[in-house]
Parts: sequence; structure tokens; C-alpha cells
Amino acid sequence: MFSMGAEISSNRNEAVALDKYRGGPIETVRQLVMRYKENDCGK
Amino acid sequence: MKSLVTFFFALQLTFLIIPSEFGLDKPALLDFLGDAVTVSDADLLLSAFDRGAGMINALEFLVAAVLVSEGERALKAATIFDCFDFSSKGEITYDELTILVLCFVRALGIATGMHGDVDETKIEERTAKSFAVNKIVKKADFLTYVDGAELLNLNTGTKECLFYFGIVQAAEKTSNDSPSDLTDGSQAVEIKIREDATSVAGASVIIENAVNSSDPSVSLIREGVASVAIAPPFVA
Repeated sequence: MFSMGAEISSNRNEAVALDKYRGGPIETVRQLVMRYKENDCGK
Repeated sequence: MKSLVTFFFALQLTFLIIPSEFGLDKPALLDFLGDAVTVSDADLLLSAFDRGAGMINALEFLVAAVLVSEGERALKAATIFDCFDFSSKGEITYDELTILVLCFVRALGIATGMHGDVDETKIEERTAKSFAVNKIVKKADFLTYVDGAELLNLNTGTKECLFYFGIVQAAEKTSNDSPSDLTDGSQAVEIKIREDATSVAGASVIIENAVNSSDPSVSLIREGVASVAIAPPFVA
């Protein structure tokens, strides 16, 4: 009698969330950083 | 000891600050990212980065976006530093550096799907080895550190990097904590499949090797588990 607990990662869902930026130019993210700092986003 | 106290104070401060200053809820996130993202994209980001407060740590998200983007490592490292250089003077405090590393390892874990429990003590140990505690950290020194430690390279060394900073992944924790034999005499088998198999047949072979049983009933179970194991991740 076997009971198996296969390890199935659920973290892949999280990685998918970044696909919008994956492989994109760093300049795009730098602009986001600048916008964040200039606008004090979240404050 | 003093550095540890300082670090935990900084962490406490971080958790107090993040919800009010660096936290982005869904409307704020949509506003911040503009037309580049849809509501669905924002939901995905929230599900990945939200740790229960209904918002994401913007700095953590920005670091993750830097990590997955294409660019020279020095520019990516500089961009991460800039996120935490609130005065834009090319320097940050030691406490800000430890928060940077904390955000970095969390972001790296999310970006690669290999996140785990963060060990703040380990992070403090590692940063204290390379930087003077309670001193100002210059951008140039940070870039030298990143280059020397070969951080920010997602193609190689992600696992090593997470291990270096004491991140314990869920899979490792489970296999260490679970007993191999159950009280009813059945056997629990922990099998890591996703990273090694790209097909049901491949996953089935991995399970077969791990279970090592010719029992026909095990074959049926094996096929079922293999199908589930390599199925595309469910996205709500």
C-alpha cells in the first residue's frame, strides 16, 4: 500500500506574473523606477 | 549583536513602512503601471507579491522586474541600488542595504519560481561580511559587491544565490520535515518532478525510479500523479 506525496511546485504561478517584463529592456524598468521615485508612488 | 538588533529594528521598520509608503494596492498598482498592464496582469502581480495585506511591496516588484529584464548586469545592479537610494545621492544606509538584499532574495525567488522562507539572520550575516555595519554604502561599493558575488545572474547560480542568503525552499523543507514511513505501514514518497520532467512519460519514469515498485496498482497511481505533476500551472 503506497501513498505518494509528489512535490508539485505552485510557485510557477508567481513567476508567470513577471512575464510582462521578462526579456524586456532594462530601460523600461528604469523608467518605472524613476516614475516611482518622482511620484512617491504608494505614499 | 548590535548589528542584529539594528537589523531587526530595520526590518520592523520596513514592515511598518511598507504598507503605508511602499505598498501598492490594486488601484495604485494599475495607476503606477499605466496602460502597459491590464487588470488581469495586476491581479497576477498581486497574487505573486501580496503577502496578505492586499498590496504589493513596490520595491520588491521593481527589483523583480529588473531581474527578469534584459540588460548589462552592472546597469541592472545600479537600477536596483537606485530603487533604494531615496535621496539620489549615490549612497544608502546599511539598514537600507539589508532591506535591499531582503527585497532582492524575495524578488529572485518570485522571478524564478523558487521562493522560500527568508532567513533574516543569514541575510544579516552575509551583508555584515561585506559591508561595515551602520556605515553608509556607496553605489560603487555595492556594484563591486554584486560583481564579486556574481549576483543578478538568473541563468546560472539562482539556487546557489538563494542558498547563500539562507532561503529554504518549500520542497526542501517538506522533504526534511516529513517522515519517510507512516504509522499505518504505508510509505510516503517525496518526488521533485517539475524541474526534471517535461512530459507525462518523463515524469512517470522519475516517479517509477523513486517508488521502485512493480505493483500494478502503483503503475496506475504513477500515471495519474505524472499527469498532474507536469500539467500547466493553474492561474486564477
